[in-house]
Amino acid sequence: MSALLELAEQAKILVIDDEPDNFDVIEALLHKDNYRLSYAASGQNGLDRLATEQPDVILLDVMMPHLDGIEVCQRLRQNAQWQNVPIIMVTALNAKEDLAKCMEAGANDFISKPVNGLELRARVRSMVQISQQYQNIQQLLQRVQASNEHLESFNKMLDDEVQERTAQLQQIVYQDALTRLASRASLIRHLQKIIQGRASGSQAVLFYLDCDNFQLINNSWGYEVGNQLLVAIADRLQDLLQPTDFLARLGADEFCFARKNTLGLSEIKQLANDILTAFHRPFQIDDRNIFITASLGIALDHPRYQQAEQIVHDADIAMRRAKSIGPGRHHAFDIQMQEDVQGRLQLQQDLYYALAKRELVVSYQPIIDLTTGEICSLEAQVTWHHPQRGQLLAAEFLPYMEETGLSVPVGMMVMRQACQQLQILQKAGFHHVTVQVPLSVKQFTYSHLLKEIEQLLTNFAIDPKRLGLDITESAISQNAAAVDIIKHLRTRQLQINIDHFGAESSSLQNLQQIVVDNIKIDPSFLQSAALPARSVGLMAAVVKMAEVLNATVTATGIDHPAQLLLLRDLGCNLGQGHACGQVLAASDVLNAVNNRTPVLLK
Amino acid sequence: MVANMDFKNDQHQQPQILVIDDELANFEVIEALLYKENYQLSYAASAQQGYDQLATSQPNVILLDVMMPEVDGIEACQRLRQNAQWQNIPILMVTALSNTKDLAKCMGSGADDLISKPLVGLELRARVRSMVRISQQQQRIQELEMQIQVDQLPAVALLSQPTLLTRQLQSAR
Repeated sequence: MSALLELAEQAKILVIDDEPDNFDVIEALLHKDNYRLSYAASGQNGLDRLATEQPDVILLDVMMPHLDGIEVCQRLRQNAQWQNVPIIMVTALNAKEDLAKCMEAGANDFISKPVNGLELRARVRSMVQISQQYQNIQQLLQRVQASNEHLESFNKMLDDEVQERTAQLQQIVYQDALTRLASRASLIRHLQKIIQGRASGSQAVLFYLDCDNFQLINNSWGYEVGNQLLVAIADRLQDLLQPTDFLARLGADEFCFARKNTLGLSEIKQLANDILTAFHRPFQIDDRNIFITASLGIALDHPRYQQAEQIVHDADIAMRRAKSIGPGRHHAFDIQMQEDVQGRLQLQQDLYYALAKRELVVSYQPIIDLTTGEICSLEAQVTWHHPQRGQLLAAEFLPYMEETGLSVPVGMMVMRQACQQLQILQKAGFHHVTVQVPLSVKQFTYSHLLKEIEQLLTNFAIDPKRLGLDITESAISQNAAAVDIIKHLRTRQLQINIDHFGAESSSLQNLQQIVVDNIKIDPSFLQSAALPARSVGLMAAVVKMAEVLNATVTATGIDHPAQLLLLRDLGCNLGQGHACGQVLAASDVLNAVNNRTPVLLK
Repeated sequence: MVANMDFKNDQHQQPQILVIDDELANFEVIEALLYKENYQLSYAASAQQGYDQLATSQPNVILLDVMMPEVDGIEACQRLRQNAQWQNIPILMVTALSNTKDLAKCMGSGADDLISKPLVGLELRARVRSMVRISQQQQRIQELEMQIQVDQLPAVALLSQPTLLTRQLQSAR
């Protein structure tokens, strides 16, 4: 406590007493204590002093003329400023009632006259201590308050920052940064409101737009141009907006256009056409005029939609259907599509397990020499023995193989089994029989293709000259590396067959680049039993072309025995189809070849 | 009325007064005189008993009788002042002595104030009240100083390292 006194500045003591002698005594007694004393000779004088002085302790004489100590004390206690100043009453009175008056007036303590130095010093010291502690507390409270305010302002600063960042994040979430259109999240929120507002009659139609072959733009001109094009598309779509419409970019090259309120079918069609027509004019990016089309899926709001995502999903499905019809088309979603999609999805799922469950079976279609009628070749085909749907032909599930990425493993499985079949035939002495295996577009992108074929040739010790690869022209044109792969396979003496010739966009350039052993004419040329003159002419031309290329010609899809002779006379070397023999199970192949019962040519 | 000096927070804590006096009758007088003051009084019949009590609980104020057999109040007061733990407890000496030399001894031993026997209620209450207030204000000062330290610690930590929070916020951008 003494430390506290030392720290504090010199304490101020105001003595109020009408007798100057009494002040002198007090001053003498407190001489050593290093207080700053001041003196007021009357009660009024003391009160006046307080306007300018701020004593730590007041020594107040009780008996004074005019304004006595009791009244001065009362007045001080009524004043907010002096409510807390310690007051010691100095009194000659010792009667209890007088002392009680002093205490009731608000004095803290009293000291009797004649004043004893020890007592005075002790009492004044205690009161000074109380006063200084009190001042100390006030200062500390201010510091506490200041530090609280500081923390508060710091918290507020953090709060502000959090709010600002939250707003920024919301903008990121709800706005597409590139086109400044609404984002997917924003669209979902918008559609959800429409779903909730259905009771009040609000309804909507959603258009799902996806650019056709947008990847080509990025690939050929770079992402910068692609991004500019997306902005230009967004601008053009915005021109179609009505006040209550909602346009969002879902990402990549996909946009959604929502229009509220019930529309008639003709209006919806009109809007769909308007949207697609917006793409008829080229988009000017830098100095280029870029033409691009879009596919449009349409989904109408319906009570079955509980979640906004479902509407978007269905519009997406419709868009994919539109795209499958061709570029620049629109298609509206209906329930049948959903069922189709679900069925396809199920089939896709089943396909994942089909390979492991050995549901995919390789069988062989005989190919006969049209001059002898004997089997000279076998085309490997894959069929799926689906546990519920029965036997599915390759054409029925080929698209799902592409989607699921199973075309490579399935393709390689077929090739392995075909090689095994070839081994069986060659071991049995049928060295003239060829086995033909399809090589799909996807397989050309498979990095281990050549290595695996090499391994198969080694493992089965087969004559590569009798392994034929059926390749479509699109496989060649879609993959720049395909020509080199084919050239390499040809040097390994494998047969190269052009499959489905004439069905796709044929390019003579393809045939110029590679050596072809065999051209398989697409079945579409043989649709009717009696061939029209036009088909006959075309086939004769193909035969002529094959002669130039030094290749044989296979007519595929021969379903009518009557066609056999005609095709032979046209110059086709080989024939394939129902009229040439039924598809054989692997276990029946050897038998069929062995029987050597030639197909009757008449 | 004694003005309240802003330590309402401490008001709920009943002030503890330790009375050290060899005469139980004196304690009973003190108890009677302070009856209305809402203090919690405890009694020690000797200096030694007083120390024992102080070892387990610290009072706000000690009322210390001067004239006691064995260890008297003056010696007891000196010893209390030498103990770091007790040296700040306000001590009010209770004495029947009146000559200046004796009183000087009392004050010289480290007491904060003294009161003469026979005790007068008004006087005792005024004096004890002042001592209690000194003690309570001292506690308040300590509390506030600690609060300032605690307040400032996290504030300083946060302010000197705002980058931590700012970084988190920025990474969320």
